[in-house]
Amino acid sequence: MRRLRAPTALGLGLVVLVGALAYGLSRGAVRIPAGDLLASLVGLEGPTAWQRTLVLDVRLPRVVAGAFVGGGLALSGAALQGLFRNPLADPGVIGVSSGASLGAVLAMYLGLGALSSWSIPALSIACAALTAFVVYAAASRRGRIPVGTLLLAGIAVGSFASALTSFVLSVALDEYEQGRQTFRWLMGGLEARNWHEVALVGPPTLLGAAIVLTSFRELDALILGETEASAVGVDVHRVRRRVVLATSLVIGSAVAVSGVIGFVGLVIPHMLRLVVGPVHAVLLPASLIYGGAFLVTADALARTLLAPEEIRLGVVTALIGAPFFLYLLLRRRGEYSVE
Amino acid sequence: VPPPSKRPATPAAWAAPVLLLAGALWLGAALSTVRAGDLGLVRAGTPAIRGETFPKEILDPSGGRAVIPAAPRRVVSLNIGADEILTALVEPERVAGVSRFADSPEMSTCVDRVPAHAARIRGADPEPILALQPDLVFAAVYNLESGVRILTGAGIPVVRFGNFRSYEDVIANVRVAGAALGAEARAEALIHQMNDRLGHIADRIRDRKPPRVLYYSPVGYTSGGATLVDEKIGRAGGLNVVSAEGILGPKHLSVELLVSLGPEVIVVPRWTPEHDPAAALLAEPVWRDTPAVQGGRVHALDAKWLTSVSPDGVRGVEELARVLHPEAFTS
Repeated sequence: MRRLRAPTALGLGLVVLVGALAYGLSRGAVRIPAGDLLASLVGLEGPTAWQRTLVLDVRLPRVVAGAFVGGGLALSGAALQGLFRNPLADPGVIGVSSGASLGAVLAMYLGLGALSSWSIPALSIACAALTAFVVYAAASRRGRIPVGTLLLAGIAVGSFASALTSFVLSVALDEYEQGRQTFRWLMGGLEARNWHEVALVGPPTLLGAAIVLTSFRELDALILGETEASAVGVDVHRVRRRVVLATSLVIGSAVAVSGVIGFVGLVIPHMLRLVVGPVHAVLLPASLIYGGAFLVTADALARTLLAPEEIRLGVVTALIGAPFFLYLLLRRRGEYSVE
Repeated sequence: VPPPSKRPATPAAWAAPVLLLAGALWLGAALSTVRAGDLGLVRAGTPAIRGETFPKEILDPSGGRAVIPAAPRRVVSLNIGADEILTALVEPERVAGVSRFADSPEMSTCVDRVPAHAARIRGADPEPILALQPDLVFAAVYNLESGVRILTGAGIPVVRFGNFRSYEDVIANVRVAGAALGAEARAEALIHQMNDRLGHIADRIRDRKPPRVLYYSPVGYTSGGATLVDEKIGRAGGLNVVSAEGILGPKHLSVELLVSLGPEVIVVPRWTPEHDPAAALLAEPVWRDTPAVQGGRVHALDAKWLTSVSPDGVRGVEELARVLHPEAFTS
C-alpha cells in the first residue's frame, strides 16, 4: 500500500473526523432536518426548543464522548504496541480494560460515586495502571516480551480482575437497584451520555494523550528492543513508567465513561501503520484522530442499524474490527509485526 | 528506524503541548462544574410533591427539584408500573407516551386503557421523549439514569418512583402521581377501591391456617421479605417460606434450599399462555417429594397480576387467595 505523507494523512483524518461527527449528529431516533441541526449548533433562530436540546444536549455530548473514547483507546493501543514491542498489545487483550472496569465497579459499589463523580474515573485509572504494571512485570524477559508470554500474562491478570468484578457484582446484586445500575454500566456503550460524562473523559484523555505524544522518539527507539534503546540513550524504565501511566489515564477514563469497548485499540493502529508507516510521531496523532472517527461512526451505526433497538457498541466494533484484523493478518501472513 | 532526537519538529511534537494546555484548562473548569453524584447512583425513595395547587414542586430523594407549572397535559411514562397508574388516573388525551411494554397482554395490566395515539417509548431513550415535548415524565430508579438526567436537564419535570416493596409504597406512589397530575380525587378513589378489595379478601381468609407457600419463577428467582410479592402472599392468607427464613428481597436461591423448606403450595408466575410453567416444574424430579407436589398444589398464575406494582395487582392477591384457600371462595 502506498504510504501517505504525514500532513496529508492527518489533514484527511481531521476531515474524516468532522464527517463522522456530522454523521453521528444527523442520525437518531427522531429525524431533524439538516437546516435545523445546523441552526441549533450555531445558535441561530429556527429550531424549536426541544430540537435544540436534542442536538446540543443529547447527540452532541454523545458524539464528542465517542470521539474521546475512540481516540483515546486507539492512541493507547498504538503506544502500548510500541512499548511492549508487540502487535497484540491492546487495552482489552492485555487486561488493562478489565482492570479499569474493576476500579469503576468498586467505586460504584462502595458508593464513592455519590461522594464525588471523579472517584469513578480515578479508581478506574488507578486499577488500569496497576494491571498494566503487573502484566508488564510478568511478561518481560530480559528486555524482550514474547507474544505468548504477554498474551498469557494478560489473560491471567485480566481474568483475575474480571473475577473480582464478578464478585463485587454478585455482592452488589443484593442491593438490587445498585446492582442493576452497575450491571448496565458494565455492558458498555455510549447510550444517553451527557456533558458531565464528556467533562470526565475529555481532560484526562487530552492530558494522557499529550504525555504519550511526548514519548514518540523513545517509542521509535524501543522498537529495536530495550537493550538497543538504552544503547542510544533512552531511559527505558522512565519511558515505560510514563507511557504506562499516561495510557492508564486515557484507558481508565474511557472505561469509566463507556465501559469496555474492544478492538478499537487493536485495529486502528494496525490499519494506520499500513497507511502512515510505523513512525510514532505520525502514528500516535493519527490514531487519536482516526480512532475517534471510527468509534463515532460505529456508535451511529449501533443506534441506527436495527432502530429503534440499539446494538451494543462493543458488538459493532468487534463485528467490524475482528474480520478486518483477520484480513490484515492473512494479507501479511508471516511478516506481521510492529516494525 | 530513525535514531532518536535527530528528527525535525513533527505532528506529535506540536500536538503534545496543545493537548496538554487544552486538557489542563478543561480539567480546571470541569473540576468545578461536575458535582458529586452527577455520575453516581440514584437514591431509591419516593419523591414528594409540594403545593396544594399548581405550580407544584417535585422534591426528589436524590436532591433534585423541579417545578410543575400547571396541570400536565402531555404526560409520558417510562415503565409499566407508571403506565398502569397514569392510565388509571387521567383522561386518555393527556397520555402522550407510555412504555413499549404497555401493549403486552402478558406483562401489562393496562392494555385496554392505553390510548392508541400515545407514543410507545423504548427505555429512557431521550430523543423520542424530547420530541414528544412532554410537560411531565413518570420514571423509576431502574430507568437509565443518564437518560433521565438529560430530561431533567432540559427542564422537563420528572417524577422518579423508587419504592415498590409494599402496599404502603403502592399507595404512596399513587398519591404522588395524583398530586403531580392534579388528579388527587381520582387517586384517593383508586386507593379506596384497592383497599376495599384487599379488605374483602382479608374477611374471607380470616382465622384460616396459612399454608406454606413458595413463589418460584421458572428462571430460578423467588421473592423474600420486603417485596410486594411477599406482601401479596401474606394478604392472600399464605406464609411465604422464603421470607419466613429471614431472606429479604428478590433472590436467586438454590433448588435444594427451596425444596428443603417444604412448601405446601408452589405458585409459578406464567409469562406466556402457550407455556405451562407448572407442568415444567412437575416434570423435574427434584420437586417430587415436596408436600406441594404430593398434594397436587402447584399452581401457575398470570405473572402480570402477581408482579404488578400498581393497584391493578390486587387481582394477583385475589387469584392467590383462591388457590391458597379454595374452600373460602366456594360460596
